[in-house]
Amino acid sequence: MMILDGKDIGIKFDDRWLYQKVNFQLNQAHNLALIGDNGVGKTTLIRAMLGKIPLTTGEFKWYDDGQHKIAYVPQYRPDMQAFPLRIRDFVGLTFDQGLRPWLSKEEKKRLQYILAITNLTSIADQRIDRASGGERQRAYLAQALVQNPNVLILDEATANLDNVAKYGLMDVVSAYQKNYQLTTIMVSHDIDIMQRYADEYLLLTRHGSEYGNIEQLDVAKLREGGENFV
Amino acid sequence: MFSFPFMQHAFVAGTLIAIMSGLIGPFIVARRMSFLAHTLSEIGFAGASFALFMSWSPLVGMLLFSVVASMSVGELGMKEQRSESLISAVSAVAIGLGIAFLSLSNKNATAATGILFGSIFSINQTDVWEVVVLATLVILVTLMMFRPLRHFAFDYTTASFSLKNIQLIEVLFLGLMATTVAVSAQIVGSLLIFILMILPASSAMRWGRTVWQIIGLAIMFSVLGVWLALVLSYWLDLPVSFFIAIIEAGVYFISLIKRK
Repeated sequence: MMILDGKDIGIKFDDRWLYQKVNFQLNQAHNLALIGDNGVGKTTLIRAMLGKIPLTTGEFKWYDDGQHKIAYVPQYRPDMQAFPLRIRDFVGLTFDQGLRPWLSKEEKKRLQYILAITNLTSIADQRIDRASGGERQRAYLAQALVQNPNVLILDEATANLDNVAKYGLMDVVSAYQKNYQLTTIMVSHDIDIMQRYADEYLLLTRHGSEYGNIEQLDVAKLREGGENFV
Repeated sequence: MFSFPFMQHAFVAGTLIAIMSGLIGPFIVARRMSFLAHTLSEIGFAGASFALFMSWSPLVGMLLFSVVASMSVGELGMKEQRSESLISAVSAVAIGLGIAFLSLSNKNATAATGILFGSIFSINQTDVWEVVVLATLVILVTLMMFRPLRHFAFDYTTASFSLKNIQLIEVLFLGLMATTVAVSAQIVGSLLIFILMILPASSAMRWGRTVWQIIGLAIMFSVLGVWLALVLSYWLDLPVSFFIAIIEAGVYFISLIKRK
């Protein structure tokens, strides 16, 4: 089932087109890989999808009566600063709506459940600034999942992680996706991750875009054309 | 000691200001806006001098200048790369204006010292009421915005995706900060604004493991610091700001030594 139809999307910055005539669909419980060189405007497309910046041409048509809740997992950077909060409290930061300064019973239960499925329960009382890269990314994922989203954006969420941490993170996403019909958009440069977990792909280039099933992705072309691919 | 009205006023105002600063400080430190808080206090200095020149209450001038300035800085976009140079330029203009208004108002050096270093023992009943109203307002608004503010301050990256009205929260937060700066300047002076808003919060960050623990500790550090400083100042006849500065800096250095 399609939940988002991107039609004829074009974004222009200071008289320069980032891209034009981008067409793609987002299907429920599917995994869309968003691919392209650095600077081509992948994050810009995501921000536009969230309604943070306007489109120059085209439109995003949502097929879920405006009920979508989008959550976001950022990229891990080793130099990322964090405060010495407990992991439990760091994950709970995304309870950010409403007037009540403390967490309700249901929210505490939800938090406990998400900590469990992201394999964070045993370290929930340790400090986030001492956690490893993989643990930190799982905490970011937990932050996103706590909000009970139906669309999850992984913005190079597996970059800079070792293989164990990388697949550990993606396995949590896959398991959650199967249980809760979660739709995922993953921005990635990692061909192996994409081929293993994505269903469709959207390739953005300066000259246009390409959308299709992940099997049709011409990996050889990426390797020679894109300097930033692994 | 407590039989003197000036001492009662100082304790009531000082305690409220300490609670307010301790509550808002951790958000400022977490959002890395300490430098901006300091600039706001310099702008507040210009405002207070302007108020003297106009024969208003210094608090009114400070509030006016720092709130307007905080909103316009927000508009200029503090996320930009040039924000540090921008802030330096703004603070230079502010201090310059402050000196100009002071000189125009023909006030003596005592007035200037009061604005720059605080004058808690000279506040009257009306001043106390102003502090009570403003501090209560800041504390209530902060508690009402606690959830979005916590996410905004402690993890801005994900908050910018999760909070729909993040610009509004940013503007409200700057307003809260400006009000706190203006009110706190009444006791520690605009030059020493760091010691109540930033130092207790920075110390608390070394010990607290949840946002509430950090806020609780920050309030405790600032309230105890103010009380102790008032008593010491009463007995030893040295400025309150001096003792608050020494106490809060002392707590901070001890927190630094503590093994992480």
